[in-house]
Amino acid sequence: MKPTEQIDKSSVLSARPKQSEIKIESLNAFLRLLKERGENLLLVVDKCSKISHQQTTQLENIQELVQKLKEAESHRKILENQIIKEYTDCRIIDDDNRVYVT
Amino acid sequence: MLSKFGSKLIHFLFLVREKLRNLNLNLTPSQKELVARNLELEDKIITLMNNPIIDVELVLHCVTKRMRETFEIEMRHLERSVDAKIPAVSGSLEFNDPNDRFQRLELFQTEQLKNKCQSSDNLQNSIKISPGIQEENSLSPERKDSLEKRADKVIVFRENKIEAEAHKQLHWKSTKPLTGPFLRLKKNKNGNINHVNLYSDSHQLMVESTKISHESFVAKSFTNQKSSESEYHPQSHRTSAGAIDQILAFNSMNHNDETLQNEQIDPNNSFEECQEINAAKTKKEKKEFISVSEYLAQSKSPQRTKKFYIATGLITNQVSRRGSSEHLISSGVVTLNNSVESAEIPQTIKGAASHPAKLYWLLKVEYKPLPPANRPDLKKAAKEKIVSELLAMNSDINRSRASYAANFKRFLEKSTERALEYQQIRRQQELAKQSTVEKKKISENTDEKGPLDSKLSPRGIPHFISRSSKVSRGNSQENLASNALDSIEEDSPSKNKKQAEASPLRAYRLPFIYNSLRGSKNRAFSYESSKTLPRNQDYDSANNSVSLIAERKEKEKDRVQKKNERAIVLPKLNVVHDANQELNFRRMQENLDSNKNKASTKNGSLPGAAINLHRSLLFLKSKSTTGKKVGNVSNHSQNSQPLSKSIKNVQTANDIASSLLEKAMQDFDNNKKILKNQFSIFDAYDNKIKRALIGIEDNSHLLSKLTN
Repeated sequence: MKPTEQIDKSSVLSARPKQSEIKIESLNAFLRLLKERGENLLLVVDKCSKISHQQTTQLENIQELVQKLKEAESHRKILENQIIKEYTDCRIIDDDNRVYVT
Repeated sequence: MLSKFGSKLIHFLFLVREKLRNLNLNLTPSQKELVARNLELEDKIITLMNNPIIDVELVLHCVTKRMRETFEIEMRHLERSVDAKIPAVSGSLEFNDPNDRFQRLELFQTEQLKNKCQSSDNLQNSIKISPGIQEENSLSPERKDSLEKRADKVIVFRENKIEAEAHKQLHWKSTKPLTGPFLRLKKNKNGNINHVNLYSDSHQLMVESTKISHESFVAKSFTNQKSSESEYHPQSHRTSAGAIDQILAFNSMNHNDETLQNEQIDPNNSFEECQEINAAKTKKEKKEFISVSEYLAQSKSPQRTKKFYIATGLITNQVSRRGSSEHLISSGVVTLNNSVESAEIPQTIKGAASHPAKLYWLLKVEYKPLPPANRPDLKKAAKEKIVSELLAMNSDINRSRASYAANFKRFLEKSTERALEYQQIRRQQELAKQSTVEKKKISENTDEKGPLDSKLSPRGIPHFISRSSKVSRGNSQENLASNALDSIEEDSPSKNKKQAEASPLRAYRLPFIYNSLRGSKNRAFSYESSKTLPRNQDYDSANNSVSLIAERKEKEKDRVQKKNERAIVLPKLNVVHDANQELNFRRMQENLDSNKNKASTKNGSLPGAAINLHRSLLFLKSKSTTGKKVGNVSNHSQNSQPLSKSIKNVQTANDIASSLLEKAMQDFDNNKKILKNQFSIFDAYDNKIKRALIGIEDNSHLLSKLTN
């Protein structure tokens, strides 16, 4: 398991934008959080697929892992909420290179 | 920066999805659902990020919400499986069809709702977060609801917009021309028409080939359906909230029917309801669309018809799904096959030609100019423009002339003398004209080409406009004036005197006219308002003559005084004195005669005074001659009394003459000022008319060019 990076709460809070201003730091932090969650998610999915073949000892480890993942998730949630709060009612007109295709 | 963020976010989600796929795992339905949710999230983010105004909060909220949900689900799943040591039950659902994801999503959401309480309880139990931080950091449910609503709104709006754009850029692959438009009007439960569809005959054939059942017609059911056999672009099958909005907007624009606009389309509206089209309450809407279709049928332009359908979003795949054309016709759909006459449309509608702007708006095509046959003639237009300009110029000239005439009339009305002078001058001018005509005749007899040609000039402009004629006329006037001067010079002083007595005005008129004509020969004739008074030079000369007269008078006074003194002191020299006196008298008479003509011009009353003076002088002369005839010294004492009387008379006459001269000088000054003003006005008019003449000549040039 890859340990989740502990993102400093104060660093996120310090990057509070003024009105319609966007800080690259906060966006990067947000992406980092998402990435972590994605990695954790993949890990969970992998564990889920292999759980039928797991032994009881391994299952205990998995339980521990689940607990850690939950903690990390809660921490992520706090940070994400902070970032989202920073951008309350933040609307930006950005017409440059905004053509996203599936 | 935000775009980079968006792209990174999407890329990240893509990577997650791809990794999930590449795990080569036997994905459980929930795991498959995870992939589907990721896909959906990607779509959502793309939609939000492509929105012109990016709501950052909304984007972040959507992403976190979805990611959290998926993570929680997977965590729950793992927890359960660990607890039970049993992997999750694999479902029979497959993940091959991307359209299935919506159905699967619903399934997932129901599952999620069931497990929501459990998961939240688990999380809250497992994680120990201080309540203060939790309250501070977590979003309130109201806030979450509002964000969700906003996200939905944005997504719906974007979807509609995308669909509208897709309709605009509809890839029409059919090579078949549109032979005739079909019209389908659809009512809601209230009986108002809220959906109209037009399609062509070529669709009819296609519809027959597809043979989709009638029951499948539900407005929203086409959004997710695929058409493999259709000739349209796949994007066009996603109908058509945007198109319906457009139609509703059109209706509301035309009729201000807000209720119609606010009505939502009832997807359960069936074709049976459409059968009642003829009895529809809102006839206006029907008329509008029928008139448009009628216009299109008349125009016989398949391109335009197609554009109309595309622009209004009326061509959709619905028709192809609807069933055969026969069914449509039988089920009450109005058809417009090639012409309006064949349709079941009321004939009261009279074409859409009365609303061309609306049509162009509907068609969303550029206005094309009329064909060359109907195009206005540019030459003709230019001619008309020039003619109108010329007429305007002429009217201006006439106006200025009229104003000038009015001013001149006022000027004449101020004093009767001026009017009389003017009349006299006119008479003289007429006489002069007659004389010139005579001269012309004479010259014509002598020479074939006379100096004055009354015919048109080479440009076709009459001589009264052309400059050459003015010059010639000026010359003729000059000749006339010089003749008049010659005649005056030839006249003897006695003759002049008689003339002055008979008509004092005439005595000074002729040289004056000569001067005025010489001074403004071009101007005088053309305006029919010749100058009755001399110009500045003439005034100067007149002033000089007046000063000379005054000097001479003073000299005469001195002489008379000297004579009187001599007569008293030296009576023996009476004869010599008489001879001298006679000479003096003659000189005085001559001077008076010469000055009389000049001085009389100053004032009309002057000639009378001059006559008095002249009479007194004559009296003196007669007295002196009688004394001479007697030749006796004794008679001198007898004649001394009349002499003194005569001297007195002379003195009084001199006084009168001097006072008159002073008055005349004052009048001169006043007249000078008035005339200066008048001449400045005349000059201004001159300039104006010259400019107008030049303009007329230029325009006539242009006209001649254009006519050629």
